[in-house]
Amino acid sequence: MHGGVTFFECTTRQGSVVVCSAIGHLYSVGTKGKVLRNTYPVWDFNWKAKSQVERRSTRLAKWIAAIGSLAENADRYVNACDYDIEGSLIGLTILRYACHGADRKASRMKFSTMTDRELREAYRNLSPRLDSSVAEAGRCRHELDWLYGINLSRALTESTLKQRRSYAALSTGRVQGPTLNFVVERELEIESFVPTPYWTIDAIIESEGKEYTLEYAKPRVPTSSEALQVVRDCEGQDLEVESVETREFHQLPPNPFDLPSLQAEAFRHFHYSPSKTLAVAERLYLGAVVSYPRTSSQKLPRDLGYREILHQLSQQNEYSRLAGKILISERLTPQQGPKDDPAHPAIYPTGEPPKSFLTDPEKNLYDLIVRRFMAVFGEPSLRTLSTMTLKHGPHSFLTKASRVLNAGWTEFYAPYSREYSQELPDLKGGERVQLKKIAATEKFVEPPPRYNSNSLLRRMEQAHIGTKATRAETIDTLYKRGYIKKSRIEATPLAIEISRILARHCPLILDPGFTAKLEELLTEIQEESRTRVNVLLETLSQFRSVMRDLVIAEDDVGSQLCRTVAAQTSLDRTLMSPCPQCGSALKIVRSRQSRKRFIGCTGRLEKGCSFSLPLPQFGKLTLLHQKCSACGFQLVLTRSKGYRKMISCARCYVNRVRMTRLKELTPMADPAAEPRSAIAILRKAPSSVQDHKE
Amino acid sequence: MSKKSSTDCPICGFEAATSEDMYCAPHEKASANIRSAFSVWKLAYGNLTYPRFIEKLSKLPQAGTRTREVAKFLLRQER
Ligand SMILES: [Zn+2]
Repeated sequence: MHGGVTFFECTTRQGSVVVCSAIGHLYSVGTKGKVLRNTYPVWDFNWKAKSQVERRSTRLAKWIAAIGSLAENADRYVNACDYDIEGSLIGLTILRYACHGADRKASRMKFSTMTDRELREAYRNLSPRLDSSVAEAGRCRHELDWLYGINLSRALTESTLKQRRSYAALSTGRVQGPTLNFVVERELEIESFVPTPYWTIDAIIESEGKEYTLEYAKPRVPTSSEALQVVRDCEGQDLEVESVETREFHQLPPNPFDLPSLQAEAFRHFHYSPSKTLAVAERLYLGAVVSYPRTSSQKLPRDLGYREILHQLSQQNEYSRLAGKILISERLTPQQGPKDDPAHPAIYPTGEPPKSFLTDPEKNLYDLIVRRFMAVFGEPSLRTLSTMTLKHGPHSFLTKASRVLNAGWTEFYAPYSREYSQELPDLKGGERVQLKKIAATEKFVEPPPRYNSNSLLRRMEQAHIGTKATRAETIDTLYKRGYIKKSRIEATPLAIEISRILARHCPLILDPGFTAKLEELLTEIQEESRTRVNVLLETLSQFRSVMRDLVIAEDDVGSQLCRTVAAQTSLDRTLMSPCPQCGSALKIVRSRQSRKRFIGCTGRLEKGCSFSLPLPQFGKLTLLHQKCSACGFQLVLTRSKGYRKMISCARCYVNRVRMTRLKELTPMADPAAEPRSAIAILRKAPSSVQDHKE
Repeated sequence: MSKKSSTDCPICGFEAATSEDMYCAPHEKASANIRSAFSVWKLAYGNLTYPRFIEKLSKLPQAGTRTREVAKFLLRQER
């Protein structure tokens, strides 16, 4: 330990080596000099210790102090952070600011797995210099994101605040704006959707005691008269087998996993949100059982040593039979995907058995990665698809069947590959069979589907906004800010209003093309065809005019937002349980004198009702949809940073039914003015990774 | 600068989309969709009256919330 920070020291032939972790970014962008929190636009910035910029990061100060002091008298420096943009930038800022300009003489360690073997090899083959262009691109991204975020968010918040009617911390940003707009556009489409009616014809035949469902050749019949005509024509009639066609088709093995395809597959099979998948994959990477997950490569280069990995996998019980089966082939040629990444290969298992206990999500994801790795070495699968056409007069019906001839790669990927077999009725061309049942059903075209976190991530990827490493986080932010809700994502009224205002006053911010162009410029910095300063100047000249328009429209923006914020706040603060004394609505209100919050009755003026209940005074309050099991009153959830979530019933405590445990978190309300408050802890603290479920 | 429009949306009270429109922007969009859908529906059902159409629409779960609100409003006016 050094100043409360753990470090490792070892001795080599060249001397002593000190290794200290960075725990993410220790420096970040902040305002240059003293600028009031309500001032905007802000253009001057510099890099500062994160502990000075964010209140919650104060513990990082001791890391900077420890690294600075450990680095004294060092003659060589190595940046061994993750080999990607963020890792390069984390290392660069620490070396530059905490180690007094050591970035100029530092070298870079490159690795894709945390296995002992690869780390030793990477240390022997250090790149003599830091990957500065990569770090510069990262630096520019942070600076632009900061400038966009702080200016746009302050413009929204301050214009609302200046109306002196309501307060809400509103935010948007370079990636957040267009992402939210995807959801809002979809929401508006669903809101005003008018479905079109159609009819389906469902028919059943029986052959050798077994029932087969037939599809009508026209899957959607547009008018009821046509649908009824088909039913009238065919009811009780025989169908004649017109043809039986059989096709064989091969299906190639899937591509190796890059991060987006791993996130999609984990969502499909386990319903993990993209951010959860990334977090779990990172834990597996730190445990040295899989390779670096933030990759866009779908390729597995030969020098990974396929045979050695498969050999190691064959030592693990679950995979021994399948890995052994692949190892029999003389040549191992994996399926490769089209995408590439200069820094890392596709995600693969290192072959090393997990050294520690794996949690269920870790186990699931590890299994998915191992089976996908084995599947890419499999043969194409071969199956037949047969279609039987049956006719009565002008009406055709179809029935389809499928059969597996050679499972190929699907054997290795089971249970994640769906293998279904279905038989055709045993009928030959020209044979007749009686229709057992036929009916027309009225249906309606469904509205466009809502996004889920996975399809929204795909949409961002398609529009080239954000990066593979940050997209999932952007979606999480939208949830946290209350702009989107539920797992089948809905945009809240506030989100719709923000998008509408941005579309009216600064459409550029919502334009995915604009954000995608910026991503291109950042790539150009990485490829050294442009400089960071050049990109900053070019982008900011455009952004300055956007901000000018927003400042001019401040009054308009503020009054529109105020109305929505007020409506949302009032909705969020009205209880479902009515006042037990007068039946009026109850609301969360704040005392003008004591500034304490409590539940008050809206019938106070009209009916003179003085009913009130106490509330916890600290933390964020949310009215839950659940009722108290003891008295039926609506429950309140309190969240405070660093404390466990608490669910309490304001009414029960007045009746002294529940126990109090966290007095220190929720001091009692003034006993003279208001009744006392109570808290019951019913839930465990949330883990760092949360799934968004309804 | 925002101008107070002469009419407010009769469904939600928000400002009408333009001076020619009766509804706010979201309700106006739903109303336009309803207008253009009637001919398709009439064709699909053969003999469908306008009141029956909006009545059916006002209860349809596949219809959007704004669509159902406009349909309910039109239904009240029909009666
Ligand atoms: Zn309206």
